[in-house]
Amino acid sequence: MKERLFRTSRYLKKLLFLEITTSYSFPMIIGFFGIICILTGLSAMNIGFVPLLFGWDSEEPFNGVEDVQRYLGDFSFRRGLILSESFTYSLLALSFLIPLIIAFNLSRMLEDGTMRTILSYPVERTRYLTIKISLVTTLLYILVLSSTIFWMYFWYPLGIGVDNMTLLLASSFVTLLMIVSSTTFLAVLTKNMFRTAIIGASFWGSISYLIETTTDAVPFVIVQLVSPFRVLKIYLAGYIMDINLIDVYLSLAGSVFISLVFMLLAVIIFRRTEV
Amino acid sequence: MKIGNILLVVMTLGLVLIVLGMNPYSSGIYLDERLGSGETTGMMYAFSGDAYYTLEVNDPNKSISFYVLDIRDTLSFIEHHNISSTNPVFSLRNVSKDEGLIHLDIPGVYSFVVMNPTNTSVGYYLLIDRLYPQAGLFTFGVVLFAFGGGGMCLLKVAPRTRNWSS
Repeated sequence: MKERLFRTSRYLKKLLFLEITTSYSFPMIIGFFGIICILTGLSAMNIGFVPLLFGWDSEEPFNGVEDVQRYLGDFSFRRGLILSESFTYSLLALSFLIPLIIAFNLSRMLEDGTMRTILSYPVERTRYLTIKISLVTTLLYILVLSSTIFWMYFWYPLGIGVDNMTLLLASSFVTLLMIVSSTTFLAVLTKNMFRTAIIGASFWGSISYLIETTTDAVPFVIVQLVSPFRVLKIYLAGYIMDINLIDVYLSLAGSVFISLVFMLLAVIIFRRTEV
Repeated sequence: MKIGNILLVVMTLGLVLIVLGMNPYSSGIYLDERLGSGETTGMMYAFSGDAYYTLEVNDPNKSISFYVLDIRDTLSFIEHHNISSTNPVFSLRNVSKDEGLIHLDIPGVYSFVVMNPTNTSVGYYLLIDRLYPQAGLFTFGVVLFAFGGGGMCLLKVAPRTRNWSS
């Protein structure tokens, strides 16, 4: 059992190495790092603050230490806002960029014969595709998250609390996974770089834009299935729509389910694809 | 790691800082009021970078004091009402008209405090504007970008130079 686990982990490590060396170049990663850094930095800087007036006249002080501490406590709340705004900007940009990455990574490989060379190694297709999807999702997620946290603490070094941190992290990850898995499905279905890029970017770009900017252009059920992050933001804002925590959990579960279905379909098609 | 890759990282960081340094985020501060004898008023605000202040008392024969405090000093000042026990980031004592630059290089919450130490009431206005591009971010960004970009250009040119010399 132990040896089997060891062998599997070594195999996965090799697959990961193969994926990194064949699909990712250093300038590409740095380019994404730059774009995400700018987006998250801008969203952290643009969070508006209401100044607090304090002082005292001959009669009595106004806004004493308690009020100031309450004001400072508000910065913890702001951190949650910064985190969600950073993810909003980044997710909007990634809705366009992810289809381009997958078109370049997967569709191009299927189109120009690189995949044939890779599959001539003893590589299992299911695992290879799963590694591909996981790596894109995790890499982009870590880039967004680390960059956001850096700017949060750079601009507002006070306080540490973020409300609903776990839900924010989970919902943004699932939203990202949803975009990656559906575009991967599109890539193995079309096997064409141009089609994957155009269809994926226009679909995800427009739907993410509509979901983020309007409340009633897209039916709520679709918002729930497509973007648990937006559902959580609506829940946290409290005034846009009357929803509760169950809706957020349902949205998360629904999105995970659909992502897995897309991944499964992509794997089935990929296993049968002539490369 | 190759030198070219390190230079690319430096250049990208420089570009990021240049863009962020040019972002005109949030507005400045404007106070226009009358302070009675011994009265104090202050405004707390998340701030960083260079700011340009304009302070003017309505009656040129009267004067006020103006201080910029960091968060610790602000809390201490609010609690004890004693400015001499604090260490202001910037201070102007008994002025009737002044303008200039305040450097707040460390991002954070600052308070801008105006005190009337005189025995009569004083009308004044205080205007604090942010300056763009933000000198700290922008200058550092330009330096990094120039270093990275220049280094990469040199790397491109270097092999040719070697060929010439050989």
